Formats: sequence, structure tokens, C-alpha cells
Amino acid sequence: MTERKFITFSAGGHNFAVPIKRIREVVTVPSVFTVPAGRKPLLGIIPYRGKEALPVFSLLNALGNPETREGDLIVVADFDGALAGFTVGELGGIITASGAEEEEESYQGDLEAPDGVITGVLREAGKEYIRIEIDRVFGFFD
Amino acid sequence: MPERIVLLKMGDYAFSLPFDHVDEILGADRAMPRNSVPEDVQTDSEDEGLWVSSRGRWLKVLDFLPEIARTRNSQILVITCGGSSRAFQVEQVVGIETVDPLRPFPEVAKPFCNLPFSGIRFLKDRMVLELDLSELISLDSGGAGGD
Repeated sequence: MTERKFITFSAGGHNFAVPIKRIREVVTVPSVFTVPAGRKPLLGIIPYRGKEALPVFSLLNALGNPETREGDLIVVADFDGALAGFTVGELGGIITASGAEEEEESYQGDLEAPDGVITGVLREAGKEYIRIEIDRVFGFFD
Repeated sequence: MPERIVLLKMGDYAFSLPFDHVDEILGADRAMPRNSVPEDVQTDSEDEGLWVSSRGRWLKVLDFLPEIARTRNSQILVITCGGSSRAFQVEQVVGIETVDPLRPFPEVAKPFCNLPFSGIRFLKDRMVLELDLSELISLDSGGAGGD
């Protein structure tokens, strides 16, 4: 049975799980530079590692929740070299789930994410995590 | 290699343009209503915007960030790219600086931005967005002698 690792975090009262393969790191940033005439879910841009400009998005906003800012933690995702950050409230940890567990339970909650973004619910140690495919959240590669 | 830029302020934002493409920086008092423009210059009679004379050409004064109100001290920038010129009202020209090369504006952010940026710099504690000249030049000049 295949096992997959997920990074977990909370945002807006929800717990999320994202496949860890896309996640480069989690950083704390005191402020984000807003972009003039920018629109949601883009929150702004931050300098990243002294060389790059990292766009920062509101994950909740991209998932259809009007709330835009979740916290000062930014999860940096790597989309085949294109980096993007998204704000989260609190970092949970890393969990491992089998393929069967991932597919068994579909999401029935109130988030209205685009098709294919929320792919199910994971349970671990009595906690429920909304599993999201971060590649599809912003439609970068559609 | 360091690059020379003209640094602008618009509201809470800082922008830059390549120095070599800035023809003139004029005071906002140089802007005139359409009825001050010579009759042989083609203008839209419905147009209530402002015009400026620069090196023998009349250019319509454009706003690339209209939501930032014009102020008494605002300035007009005349830029040239590919043989075309445009005049833009800006809140304030902050200075001319020699700075590190531009970093690319993140591709993944472009679909969520309504302004044309060609790159980005972080100078001290601020972010400076470089405006895309070719996009600015493609803005409507009002039919006057900008091309």
C-alpha cells in the first residue's frame, strides 16, 4: 500500500493537509508588500532569500472563503521552479496516509473551492484534515 | 551590472522606470486643457483631459494609476520607447538612483495584477515595481503626436 506524506496546518478554523512534495519551507514574515491594483487571492510580494520576489497568496481566499489573511506564517510551495507562498495560521506537523485512507472520505464542508482542489478528508489522531491539491489552488497549471 | 532608474512615488507605492527612456520630467503646471492645444493638433473634442507640450509635440497626459489622486505637486513624465512617446502624471519623482539589476516579476502573480510590471527590486525597506515600458507606450495617446 502506498503511503504519502502531508504537511498540515490550520487557517480560518480549518485544518488542511497538503502533499509535502510541493512544499519547500515554512517561513515567518512580519509584513507583505501589497501590489497596486492587485486582486485576490494575491496578498502581495516579499523578498525571499535575498534574491527572489515571492508572491504571497491567501489560501483561504483562493478556496472561496472571504477571509484573506490567516497569519504571519507563509508556506512556500515550489511548482517546478516557480515559487509561491500562501499564508496559514498555525503549522501542525507532518502526517502519513495510505492511498486507501485518502480516497475513502469526500469533503462535505462549507469551503467552495474550484473543482479538483479539495480532494478529500484525512483523519489522524482524531483530527480531520481537508486535503488540498496545492497545484490546482491558483490554477497556475490548468 | 547596476542600472540607472527614475524612482516614482504614487500613493503608498514606489515605481521605477529605466532612466534612458525618460525624456523629460515636467511640473504639473505645464499641463493644459484641450482648448489650449493648437488647432492643428488632432484631439478628441469630447476629451476633457490634460495635454502637455514636450519638444514640439503635444501629448495627452495619461494616468497609469487613476485611483491615486493628482496632487498640487504632482509631476509629468515623458517617456519614449520604440519611437513612441507618452506623458504620464505621477504623484512625485523621488529621485534618480543607480541600483542592482531588476528581478523578474513573478509569473504566477501576473494574472492577479492589473498594472504592467516588468520587474521588481527591494531597496532598503521598500519594494519598487518597474513599469513595463512597452505596455505603457501601448496605452491610448488620444490621437496626438505621440507616435
